[in-house]
Amino acid sequence: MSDLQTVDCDALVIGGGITGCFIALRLAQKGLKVCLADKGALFREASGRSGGGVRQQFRNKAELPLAMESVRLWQGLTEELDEDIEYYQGGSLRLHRTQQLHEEDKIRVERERAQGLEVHLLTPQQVRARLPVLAENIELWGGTYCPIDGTANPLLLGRALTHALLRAGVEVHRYEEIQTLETAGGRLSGAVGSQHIFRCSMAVNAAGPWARKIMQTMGFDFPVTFRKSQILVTEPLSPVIREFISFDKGYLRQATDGNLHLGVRGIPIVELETRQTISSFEDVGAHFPEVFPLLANVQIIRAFAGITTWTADGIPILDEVPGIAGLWVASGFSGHGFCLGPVVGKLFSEWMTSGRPSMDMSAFAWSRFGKVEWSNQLRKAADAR
Amino acid sequence: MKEDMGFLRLENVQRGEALQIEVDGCPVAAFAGETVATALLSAGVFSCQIHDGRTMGVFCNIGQCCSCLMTIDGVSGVRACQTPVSPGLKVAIRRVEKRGPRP
Repeated sequence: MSDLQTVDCDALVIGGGITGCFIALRLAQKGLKVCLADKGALFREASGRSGGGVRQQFRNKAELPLAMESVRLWQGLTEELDEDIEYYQGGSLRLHRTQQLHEEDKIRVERERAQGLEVHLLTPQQVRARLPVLAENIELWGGTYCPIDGTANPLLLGRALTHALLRAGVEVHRYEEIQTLETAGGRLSGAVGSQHIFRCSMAVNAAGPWARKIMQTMGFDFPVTFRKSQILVTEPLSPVIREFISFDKGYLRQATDGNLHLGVRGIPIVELETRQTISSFEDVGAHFPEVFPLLANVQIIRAFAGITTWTADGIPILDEVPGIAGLWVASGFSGHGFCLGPVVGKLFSEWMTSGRPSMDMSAFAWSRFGKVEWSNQLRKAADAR
Repeated sequence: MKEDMGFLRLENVQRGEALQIEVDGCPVAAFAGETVATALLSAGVFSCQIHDGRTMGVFCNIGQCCSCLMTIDGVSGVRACQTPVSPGLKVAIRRVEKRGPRP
């Protein structure tokens, strides 16, 4: 261990996905010396394999204000990053193929409108007018439409953010797997990586699925499970879809280059791996063409899978780690991390520099899943390392 | 016939029977056993798809990149580099009229 070089910084961000990149960028812009460590390359995992939706409707009541603030921040990103990230607000459209979903969504739309989101309940005719590629013979009860939702290109965002991090002076450590965290008297004092030892008084664990393993090395049981979500990409087509479309069998959007990106519900996994699954192809083949007949004659040219990290209630854990002052965790986004990246970066940079975030984060507390304790025994063991 | 060799084919290689395929209605020379991509490159045709004015052609030539998608025998989105030629095979350059979201 002694042959590892030591790096001093104010804050260490663990994880180079959208969450970690935005936290690191905003901390550096507040004048901190920031190191960002990732076990691989930036945006290599779920952030770069995302469906690219930047969506506010059908979110948890507590999460919606964060999503709305994040979309406000998304609107300024292209200009700030000074690179095309193919962000556009083409709206999001959710189809109702059953009466039950239509009735449930009436209540949901009312709640979201009361929270200040512009979202509309559509009749079947209004859905069809918006979506000419929809099959004529399917049962359709209506839909919901949020005009200011949108999509972006995850790969272009990753590249633009990498450039922004370097411009802001963040020290980016790729292929640096954090092995363990170090503490002194209940305070964070550093971290041991595969290539360097970091000396810092603040760190944030934004390692997505791997956040659980890092918490485990400190003796915590981080309450998340994992899903593998696969996206199928079609050959490029002339523009046929504007909105981010979701329905009971999956979702789809059209990228700027014309490819349709087709996503289905993730598969529960235990081992963290991203091998492709044939069942995603079967699901798409079995359910998408009956709703979107043009897909029957369209080729799939590639597919990729990413790991999403889920909590029991489907909203993230955004919290200080109990018992270890100076350590935060941001994970468990349950498939919503791409949209929320900008706002989480803003809130954590406020929290870590001024002691409190500018929005209410109590709904995202780790302790909502039961008491979280760092025992004296664990504390002593950690101090002794 | 030397003209049929095109400018990329090596000489002194044993080839299949000479034949013709049809690319956007124009005859293109090929030899049995070649791929559509080989016939196109040898004839100096470098565009397989045209996206809103930007052309894409054979890139990896091993079936991975999907840059050479064409309309072959009436089926859209077929890889030219993985499709063997046959006499009279109808090949069309794939056109995507416009790039960007539907207005």
